[in-house]
Amino acid sequence: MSEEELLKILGEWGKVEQKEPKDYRVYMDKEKVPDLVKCLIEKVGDIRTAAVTGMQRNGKFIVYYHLWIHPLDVMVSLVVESENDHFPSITPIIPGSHFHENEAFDLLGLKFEGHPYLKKKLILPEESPEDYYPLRKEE
Amino acid sequence: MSLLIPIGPQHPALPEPERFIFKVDGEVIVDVDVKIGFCHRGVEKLMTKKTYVQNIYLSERICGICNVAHTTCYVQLVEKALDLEVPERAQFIRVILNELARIHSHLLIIGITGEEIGFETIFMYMWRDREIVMRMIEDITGNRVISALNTIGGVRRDISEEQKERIKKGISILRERFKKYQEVFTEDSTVRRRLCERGIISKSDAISYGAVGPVIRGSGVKYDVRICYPYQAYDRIPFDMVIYEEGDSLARVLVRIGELFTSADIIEYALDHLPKGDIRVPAPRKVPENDVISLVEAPRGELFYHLISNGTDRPYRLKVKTPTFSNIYPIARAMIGETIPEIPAILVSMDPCFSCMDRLKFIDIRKGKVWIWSDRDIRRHYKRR
Amino acid sequence: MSIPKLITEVVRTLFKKPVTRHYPFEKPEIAEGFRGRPVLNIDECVGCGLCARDCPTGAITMVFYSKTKRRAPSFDYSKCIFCYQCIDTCPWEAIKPSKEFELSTPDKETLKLKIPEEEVKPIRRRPPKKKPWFR
Repeated sequence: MSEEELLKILGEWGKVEQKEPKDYRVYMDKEKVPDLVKCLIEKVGDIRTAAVTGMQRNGKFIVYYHLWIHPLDVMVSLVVESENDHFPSITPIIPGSHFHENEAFDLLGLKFEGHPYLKKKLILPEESPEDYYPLRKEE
Repeated sequence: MSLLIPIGPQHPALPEPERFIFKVDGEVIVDVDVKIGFCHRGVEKLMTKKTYVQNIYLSERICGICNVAHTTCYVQLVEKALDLEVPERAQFIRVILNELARIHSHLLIIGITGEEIGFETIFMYMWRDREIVMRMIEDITGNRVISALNTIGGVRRDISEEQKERIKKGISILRERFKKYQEVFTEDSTVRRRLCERGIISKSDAISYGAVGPVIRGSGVKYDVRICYPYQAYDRIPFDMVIYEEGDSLARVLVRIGELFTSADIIEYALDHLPKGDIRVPAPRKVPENDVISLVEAPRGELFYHLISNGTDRPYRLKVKTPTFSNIYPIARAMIGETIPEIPAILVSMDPCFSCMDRLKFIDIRKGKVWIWSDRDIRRHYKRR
Repeated sequence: MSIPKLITEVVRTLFKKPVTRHYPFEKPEIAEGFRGRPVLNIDECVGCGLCARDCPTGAITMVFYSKTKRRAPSFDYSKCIFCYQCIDTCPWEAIKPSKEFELSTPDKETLKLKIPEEEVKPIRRRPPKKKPWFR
């Protein structure tokens, strides 16, 4: 499987943009993310979650799932936007995303549905207030 | 066993805490639960309130030992967002400094591994050799550990001919000592009994649980950011990746010893082929709207920075992912099935940058007892037997 | 075997003198480019304020001298991290590096240095000595 074939598969799921020689962004809908990850693991091989970035802009929440594709040595970032703070979780498919999604939950309040053990206060101290999400922008 | 009051200072060599809760059946570990975040300083929020130049010094202080990797990653990120071309001489100087810092970090952690398994002599010898490396870093940058040599657009100081000779002399002294350490870790039977076949991570587990750095290279996966996603001058310098197939603690230590030799080769090649030219170019203060990623191979693994800028002189969102954050979960899973006295050695083989056990909580599922031990208590309890 | 090799090295170091340096009585060797306390030369300073803008910790603040009607920086060495960004930024090279590092004191106020009124002269306008790092 070469890079062009990978780009063709990704092109069917969303809009693909190349930022650097080995760095791609795929802008897609949030419901399709777990199916795309399962399809990529079947067709391409080993995939590892490098990081999960959450951010907030103009009242909307945006999440980047950064995946490293080992057979091709390429970084693919799935970019997902949402009005509310519920996002799909890829932890049942790639178990290593556990800590990354939990950190986004602790710092920004993004709830990842389907995550088997989303724990409150993995990173923040236990004495901090309940609805306190440090990285949210003040309105 | 009754409930023990948590005494015990933190480990004197690696003073940063992390808490594990182990469910044990007799002496065998059945399940692990992890809580981190005792050193959370709010760096990502603070970075949105300072300018890009001020953030160089903030990113340096995220980790003391990996500070060169953090500044290289940050500066590379801002240069990508500005579309700025850095001169070749500056790229080679950055490579030399990165490799010196890698030798420094590996000597530190292999010495600590020796101390955890009871081999204090090797700990003292390796930390004496760290002094040679710290003197070389002070020669080039002005400070022994926190270097502050990188800036947006290049490096701040140049390497003169006398400094080149001094570094080459230091590297040749160090090579002799590296050979001795490799013999100790491959041939000594006490070392093998403590490290061989402990904390095994299989190849597929290493990828799906997200390990990076020497942990994933000790399990047979060919992943090194310097070769798979080259940055700075690494695509012009030939070197090999160090891979071991077994996946146990000894394989991880041997990967680090192999990387000591590779780093010495890279430094000598870069010094011989240092190109002439400027060391820095001017850079704008304001960064246009952009969305970039930067990856660097820190001594502990893959370091990841992600910037979203908005046209002002302060970043809008900067995400930092350190290598230890990726490695804690696979190592916690690798401890299942091992016995309690092996915990310190397996934990140190991951090279924790924020941790080493200040307190471990044990829950015995058969007897229903709960107790807390510190690192010193484990060693004291098992020495008496 | 490796254990006998380490034993010979241990025995060899038994007969050498200890490596400890008695610090306050023996001064350490300092490298050429060591980063000590940055020192201000008020005659070269023009009062532009770029050093205060670029300082990461906010250790430099600009103060106004009413007699000569000019500004100059005032350094707070309890906040300084010795990064030398101020020396890098100043286009008139008015801040100089030094090798002083023994700055500990029981009173934090002695670390806040402000040049007194008598030593401050009016600004001499002249072109900068080096190009700035930004464009």
